[in-house]
Amino acid sequence: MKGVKKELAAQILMILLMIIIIFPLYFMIVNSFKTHDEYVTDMIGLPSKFTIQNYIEAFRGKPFGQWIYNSFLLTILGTFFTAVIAMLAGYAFAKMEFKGKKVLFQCVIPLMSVPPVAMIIPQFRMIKVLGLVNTRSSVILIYVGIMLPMTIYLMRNFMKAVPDTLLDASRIDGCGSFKTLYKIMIPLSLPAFITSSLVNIVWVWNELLISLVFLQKENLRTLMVGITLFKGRFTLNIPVIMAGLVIATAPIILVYIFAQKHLVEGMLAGAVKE
Amino acid sequence: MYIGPAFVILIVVIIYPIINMIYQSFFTSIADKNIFVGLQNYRLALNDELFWIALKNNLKLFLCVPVMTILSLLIAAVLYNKIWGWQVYRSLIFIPYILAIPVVGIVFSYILQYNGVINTLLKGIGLEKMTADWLGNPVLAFPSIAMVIIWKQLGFGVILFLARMMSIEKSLYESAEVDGATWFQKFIWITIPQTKSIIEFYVIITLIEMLSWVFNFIYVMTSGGPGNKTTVLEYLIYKKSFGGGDFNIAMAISVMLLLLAGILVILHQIVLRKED
Repeated sequence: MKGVKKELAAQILMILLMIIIIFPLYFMIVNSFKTHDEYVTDMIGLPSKFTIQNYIEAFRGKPFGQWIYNSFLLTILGTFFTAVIAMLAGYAFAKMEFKGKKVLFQCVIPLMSVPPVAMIIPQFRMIKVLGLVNTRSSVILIYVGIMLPMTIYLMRNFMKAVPDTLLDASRIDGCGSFKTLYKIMIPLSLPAFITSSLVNIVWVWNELLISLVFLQKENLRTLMVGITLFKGRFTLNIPVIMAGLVIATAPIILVYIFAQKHLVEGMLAGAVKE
Repeated sequence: MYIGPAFVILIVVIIYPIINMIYQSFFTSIADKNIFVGLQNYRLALNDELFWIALKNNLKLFLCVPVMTILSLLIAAVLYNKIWGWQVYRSLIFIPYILAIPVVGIVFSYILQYNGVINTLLKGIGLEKMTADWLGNPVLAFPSIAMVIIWKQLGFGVILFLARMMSIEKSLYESAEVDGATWFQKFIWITIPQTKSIIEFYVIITLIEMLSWVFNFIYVMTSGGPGNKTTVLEYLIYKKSFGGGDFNIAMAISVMLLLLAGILVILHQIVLRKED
């Protein structure tokens, strides 16, 4: 009897919590299918007449498709370069001996905590000197730099867990360090590659500040900057804004649905020491 | 060298900008000339009322940390009992954490605005008096933002603590049950001590977040307003640089922000070492 009561109390608590957690998402989705008039009179209920007009409207008169393309491009390239560079560094930190290894690795960790806004003026000046203002490569470079510390940390911890005997065996077979990386480490660290990349995909897709400052040309803007400026500038039609937000959120939710385990694992791995 | 590419990028993107920022914080530029002014930028920053408002707001955000820690621990402890549907709850509670801050910020600004959902609901249940312009009222705006931040970040703590709780020895709980311990007693005397190290991590990481990663919330929801009441150090740096062109003062503030973050990073390192 006591157990039933307890379960009931827990269920009520959780259901209340879930309503609070889910409501903003529900609000965004249902209102993206309403007309503006219906939104004004009823913000909470389900749409009385389901319309996809808002989604069509979202693409009209503004480079919405271009923003989506830009975000995809930055996300894929930024994540890929980060993973490759971090894998090389992680391999060295995990499996090689060189002078200053410990000190260098100790230097990488605190870089995760530097607030991006503090670095933006010097970065901007540097990008200007390099002649890369308003180019995607400048933003990719900065993204890679910001993601590297965490990604190196994850890769190194993962590769450390690969048994040395495997490496020794490949060395005896006459493999050089690069061949060992290629033949043994890369296949074995594929899960780390995927896990850390998922975390990075979510981060780049959602990033606002850097793309806001470095990509000021309309045709280079990312989706997050686009929807932030959307409000007020392009439309006062709230359901259209909600449709834009749904489109901007869908890829992340898809990643979560299909790769929840790896994504969560990667996000926790940064906080938990191996 | 395998670490070569990584370090070239880290130096270009992070380390050089930090050094340049510290150096430039002692200069001022007049007509394209760089003039050494010593601590003048710092003096100007410290004499600016906005700096103190921003700093105070960051410190107020630190108050979210105990709230989030306790809430996450309690929720994780409830889920740990494998109540019906716990896996679904666990999946749902993490969703806000992966959403983009611009998306969350815009949705909440419509929920919290004067003609928004919260006020409609309050009117609906006869609490007309409690309606307010949640983000436009100088007293309420900052607490409202803090609530949104808690809403978004809560799931991370829950999942983190739950993962650790799953690895606690079952026998500890069993022997406590034999002794007739209540749920709350078990929570205080077994769960908390067993998760202590991870709680320490979480608190420090979340403090760093509240100092260094809240810019987007402020930018999207209030732009520091009304009347600068919701500005934080990061937003102030952004505004000084891109709104006012006071680059050197912005850099002095950046250096101070970095020092604060540095203290937390050192704490983090101490906790890491202790674990070894």
